[in-house]
Amino acid sequence: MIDAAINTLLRNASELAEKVKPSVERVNVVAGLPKLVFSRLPGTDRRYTDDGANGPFQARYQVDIFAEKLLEAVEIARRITSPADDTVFGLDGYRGTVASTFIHRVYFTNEHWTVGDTEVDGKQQTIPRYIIELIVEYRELQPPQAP
Amino acid sequence: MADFVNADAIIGYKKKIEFSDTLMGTYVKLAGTININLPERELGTAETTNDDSPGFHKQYIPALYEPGTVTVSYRYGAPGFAAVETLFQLAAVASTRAAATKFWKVTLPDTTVAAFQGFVTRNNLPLEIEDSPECEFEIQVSGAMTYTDPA
Repeated sequence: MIDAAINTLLRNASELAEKVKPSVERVNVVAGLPKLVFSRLPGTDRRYTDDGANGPFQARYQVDIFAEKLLEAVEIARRITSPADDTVFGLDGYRGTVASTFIHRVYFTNEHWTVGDTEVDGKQQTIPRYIIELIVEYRELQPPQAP
Repeated sequence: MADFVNADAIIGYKKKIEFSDTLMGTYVKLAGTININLPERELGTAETTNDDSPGFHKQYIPALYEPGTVTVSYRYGAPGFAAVETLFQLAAVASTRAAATKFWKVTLPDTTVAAFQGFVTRNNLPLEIEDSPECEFEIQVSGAMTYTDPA
């Protein structure tokens, strides 16, 4: 559920719609750019009490933005990391319910960029990539479903 | 004392703390507990050393027990914090001061029960910007604590 919520939030904030993909899918990050790939990182905190894992939970994500030009990736990153308010659908400080998940808060912990070589069909191609790390505090409103 | 076997070992998960106005009354459980530290009790000593103490050694007799304090941490939720705050404030009003001392019961996962009387002396709510609040309160134990082994 939290993965689905992050997927929806990133699609809305980045304005990339279906070009946002979870890293569990095979994604071509050379053609059809820009594209955004997100991954769940180790370190999810389930926060147990004597009454069980009743949260709120904390999960970490990495967001990789691939673009033809680095500035384009930076612009998408700015849209995502801008403050959440009534006029801008940024995710910094976002609080709300999406995909049966109540989000207490989203905050960004790190960002950097790289222009690395990627091998495509035996040839090296240079693909700019902007990387963002975020933490989300959340509570599932329904039991998690099997993938 | 019987030999210890691994089957007797426990972890702290699923313990609980409850309180009541009377010993045999209805006990109310505090939800969302994380750590419950039963008191470090101490037996005081009274020195009885005198000029006839043998072998150049000081002498003592047991004095009174210090029952200590119990600390409890729990995940913040408004109803839970309000319940503890109510207990904490009972001593603030003359008409409810006597009711501040409650009967407490801590039940371990193996059903061992520690029972004692006491009143809440501290109730805090730290709010860290990037973490889920974890509250802590303290109970001053008054009198003896009793342990009841698993049934």
